Amino acid sequence: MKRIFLPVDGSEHSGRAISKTADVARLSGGEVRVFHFQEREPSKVGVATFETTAEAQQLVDDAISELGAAGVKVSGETRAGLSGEVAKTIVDEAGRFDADLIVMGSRGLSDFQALLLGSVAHKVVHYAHCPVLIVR
Amino acid sequence: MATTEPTLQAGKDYGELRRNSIGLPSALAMSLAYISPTIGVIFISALIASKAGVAAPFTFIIGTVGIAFMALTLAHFSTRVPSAGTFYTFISQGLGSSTGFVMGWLLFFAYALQSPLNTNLFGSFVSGLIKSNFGVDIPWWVLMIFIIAFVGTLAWWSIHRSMQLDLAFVVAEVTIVGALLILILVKGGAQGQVPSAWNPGNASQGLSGIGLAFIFIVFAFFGFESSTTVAEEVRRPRRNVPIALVGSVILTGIWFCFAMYAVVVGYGAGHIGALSSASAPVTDLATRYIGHWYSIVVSLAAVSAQIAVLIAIHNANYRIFYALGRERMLPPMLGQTHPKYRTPHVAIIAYSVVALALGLMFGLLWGPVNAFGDVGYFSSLGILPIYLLTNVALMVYMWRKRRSEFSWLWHGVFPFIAMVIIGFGIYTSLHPLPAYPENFMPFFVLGWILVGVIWMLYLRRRNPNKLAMIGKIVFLDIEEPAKVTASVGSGSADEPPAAAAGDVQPSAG
Repeated sequence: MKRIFLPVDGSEHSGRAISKTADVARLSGGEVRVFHFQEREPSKVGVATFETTAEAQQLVDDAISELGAAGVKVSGETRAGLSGEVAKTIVDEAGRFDADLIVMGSRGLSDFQALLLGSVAHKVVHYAHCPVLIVR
Repeated sequence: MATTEPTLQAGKDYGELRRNSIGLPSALAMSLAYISPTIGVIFISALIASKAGVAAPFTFIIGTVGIAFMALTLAHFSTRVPSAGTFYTFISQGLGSSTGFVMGWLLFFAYALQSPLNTNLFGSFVSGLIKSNFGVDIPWWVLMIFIIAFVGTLAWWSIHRSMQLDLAFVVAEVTIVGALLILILVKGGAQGQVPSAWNPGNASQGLSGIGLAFIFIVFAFFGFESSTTVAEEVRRPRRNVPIALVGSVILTGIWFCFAMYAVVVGYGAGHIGALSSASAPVTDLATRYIGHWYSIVVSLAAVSAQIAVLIAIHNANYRIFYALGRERMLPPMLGQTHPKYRTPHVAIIAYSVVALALGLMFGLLWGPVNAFGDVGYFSSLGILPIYLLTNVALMVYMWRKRRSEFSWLWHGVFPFIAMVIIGFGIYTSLHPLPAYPENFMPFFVLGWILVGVIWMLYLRRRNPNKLAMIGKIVFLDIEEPAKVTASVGSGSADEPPAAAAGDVQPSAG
C-alpha cells in the first residue's frame, strides 16, 4: 500500500483513522494524502457551511502534523463543494491520487441507519476503485 | 526536500489543471432545483393573477427577462470575484464596503422573512389538507411548531438531503404538476385558449398591476442567486457559469410562463377573480380536471417542495447564528457544536425560537394564508434595491478594476436593461400606492435602509474593522476555499513540516 488516501472531517472516528493510517503507512513505507471536503449548501438565503476555510485547512494541517511526526511522508488538500458530493469527491480524488488504499473513520451505522441518516463511508466502500479500510 | 504547490484561485478558469467536477447539464439541473419551480406555480400564481389579472402570463415574460439580465450580472461578477457572499460581496467590490454593509443589512432583512412566510404557508396549507381529507382540525400554528422542530432535528443529527435527492424530488414535482397543466391545455380549459393572456393591455390594474405582479415574480424567482454556488463547480467556469445561471432562469421562466398560462386557461378568462382568491389554485384544478385523488398527489408534491425550501433556509440561518456566536457578536454559546454530531445545536435551538416567533407574529397579524403573500411581497421589496445596486456595482467594478475586460454591451447595456426593469418594479410599488398592507412596506424598507446607514456611519467612525467583519461573517465573504497542497519530507521526524500554502484572500471593496 504505497499510496494511501485519508479523508478527514475532524470527528473522533476520523482521528482514530489518522493514527491507524500512520501504522499502515509505516509498515508499508507508503505516502499519505490527507483530504478534507468542506460542504457548502446553497439555499434561497445564501450558503450554509459550518466551517471557515481556515478551519478546514487547520484540520488538514493537524493531520499532516500528526502523520509527519510519525515519520510518514504526507501531503494534504482541502476542497469545497456542494453538500451531498462528499463520497463522490473522495472517490474521485483518491483515483486522481492513484491511491492503493483509502482509510476513513465511520460512525458505525448499520446498513439501514446508513440509508436513513446517510453514510459517506458506506458510499465510498461501494464506489471506490481500491480497497477501503474503515476504522471505528 | 519540502515543497509546496501553487494555490489556485476560485473564480478563475482552472484550465486542464484540477478542473471542477460537474458538467453544464448538471449545473443547470441543480440551479433549477434551488429556484423551487413548484412553489412558484402552486402558490404564487394566484398572487400574480390578483395583480395582473388575465395578463399574468405576460408579466412572467417581463419578469423572466429582468431576472435573466440580473443573472448575467451575477455571472460576470462570480467569474471574477469569489461568490460565496453573492450580492454583499459584489456590491462591496464595486461600490465599497460601506455601501456593501448597508445593502447587506437590507439583504439580511429580505432573507430573514423567508422562514416566516414559508412556515405560515406550510401551517395553513397542511392544516387545510388534513381537514379536507380527514376531517381533523389541526391549528396552523401547531403545524408551524412541528415543521420548525422537524427541520431543526434533521439539522441536529446532521441529516442532509443530497443534491441528487433534491433533484429527484424536483423532477417528480414538476412532472406531477406539468402533466396536469398539459392536460388542461389539451382539453382547452374552462373557456378555451386565452390569447389575451399575452397582451399587457388586458392587465386588470393596468401598468401598475403589471408592476405589482412583477414584485411577486421576483418572489417566485427568489434565491436564484444561490445557483452561483452550483455554477462554481462547473468545468470551464468563464464559459459555463453565465450559461448555467442565465439558462436556469430562462428555463424556469419558460416553465412559469407555460404554467401560469395553463392555470389561466384552466380557470377561464372570465373567472380570474376565482383564481386570484384561490389559496392553492393548482390543487383546485387537479380536482376539477382529473379528480380528488390527483389533488392529493399535487398537494404532496407541494408539501415536499415546502419542506425542501425550509430545510435549506433554516440551515443557512443556523450557520449565521453560529458564525455570529463564534465571533462573539451574539452570545458565544451560539458558537458551540454538539460533542457527538458536531452540529451547531445551540444555534439551531436559538434560531428555531426566533423563526417561530417571527412566524407566529405574521400569522397572527395577517392570518397564515395571507402572511405568505404579504411577507413574500415585503421580502421582494427589500431585494429590489439590492438587485438595482448590484448592476451599478458591476458597471463600476469592471470600469475601475477590470478596464481591459470592460465591454459596453456586457457590462454597460445589459446591466442597464436589468436596472430599467427592476426600477419599473420599484416605481410601481410606490405609484400609485397599493392598498394595505402593501402601502406601508416601501416606507418600512426605506426606514430599514436608513437604520443601516446610521449603523454603518457609527461603525465606520468607531470601529471600521467591525463593519467589514460583520458582513464577512454573515454573508460568507471570507477567504474562498482554495485547493492547497502542502508536502512534508519523508522519514525524519526532525525535518520541519513545510508551511501550507496560504488561502486565497479576496480583496473586499
